[in-house]
Amino acid sequence: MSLTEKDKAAVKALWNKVSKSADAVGADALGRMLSVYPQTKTYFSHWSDLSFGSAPVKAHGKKIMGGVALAVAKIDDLAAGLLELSELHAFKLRVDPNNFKILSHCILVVVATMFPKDFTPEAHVATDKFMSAVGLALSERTLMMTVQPTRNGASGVLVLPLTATSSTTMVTRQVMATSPKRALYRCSSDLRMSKAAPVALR
Amino acid sequence: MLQKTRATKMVEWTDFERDTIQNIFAQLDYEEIGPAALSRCLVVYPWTQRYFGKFGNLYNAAAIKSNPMIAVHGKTILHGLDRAVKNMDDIKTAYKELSVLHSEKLHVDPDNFKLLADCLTIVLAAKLGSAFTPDVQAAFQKFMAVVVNSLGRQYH
Repeated sequence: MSLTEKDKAAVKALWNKVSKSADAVGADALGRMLSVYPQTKTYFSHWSDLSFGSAPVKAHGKKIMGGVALAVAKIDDLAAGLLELSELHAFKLRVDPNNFKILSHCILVVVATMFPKDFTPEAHVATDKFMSAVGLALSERTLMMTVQPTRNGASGVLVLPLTATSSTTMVTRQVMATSPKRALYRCSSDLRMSKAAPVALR
Repeated sequence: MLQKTRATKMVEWTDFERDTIQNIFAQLDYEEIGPAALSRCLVVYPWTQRYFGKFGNLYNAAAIKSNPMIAVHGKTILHGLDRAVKNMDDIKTAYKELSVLHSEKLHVDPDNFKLLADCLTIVLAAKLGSAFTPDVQAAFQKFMAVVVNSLGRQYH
């Protein structure tokens, strides 16, 4: 799916209004998500306090909105602009792509509560498309799986050994070194896959 | 999340959830919220317009918002939720006829029920502002999930 120029303008206009309160939006959306969709708590079991308004939730909500700000800045090429974040979410965090939709929904709900007059149906559709595109860009790496024959000829999914010190770029290089020339794409029926050539594995 | 038992009750509601749903609908302005939710759904998820071919001009967001037939229908839909609000302990049975109607007469893809429910959530959030706390949101979304599920049950 691609964003029209009109969509991009609408997203930027809404972001202009929202960005001053980005930290609050992020904290509310994340806290809300953990409450309304308790299964998402499984990704944060290492936090001391998962309650709404807690310090880890606020800090992380701020971080997430930093990512949204980056996406707005890179709106003309989300796949490239969010590449590092995509690798982070795929290889290190290993987030099920369905969760991006859940968080997007919570962000939209918070924007609706805080900016009811600005979140018109037109702004809503543009933002919904934008958040879907962001979710897709972030899932891109998750949805690319390389199937590599093992030494005895049986094929299996390549599992990346992640050490405690591995950075996302190190992981990427591991993938580069061991992946075959062709990548198999697992298509989620909910996400429209973009056709990434093998060169995207660089 | 949804506890389906073979006993008489379909879903277990806490007191907080019951009160929240009753309060929301007691204070709801049907004239405002119904049309707002339906028209938003037609704008945000344009393929849903396929069910409203006879409703006149749906050409753009402004036309949809000012379309009187859409406004009337938005109110009808919201009043349709009253049946669930009054029968929270057996929404499944309460919605049997409506499910058959949507399936056999209206031929609505049941995936669309969720889309409308999401738009209604957003419109309600905009209306209630900070009163739409996470707990209220959770209760409302659980209620809508049960409604959506009940509407989809009689499809075959």
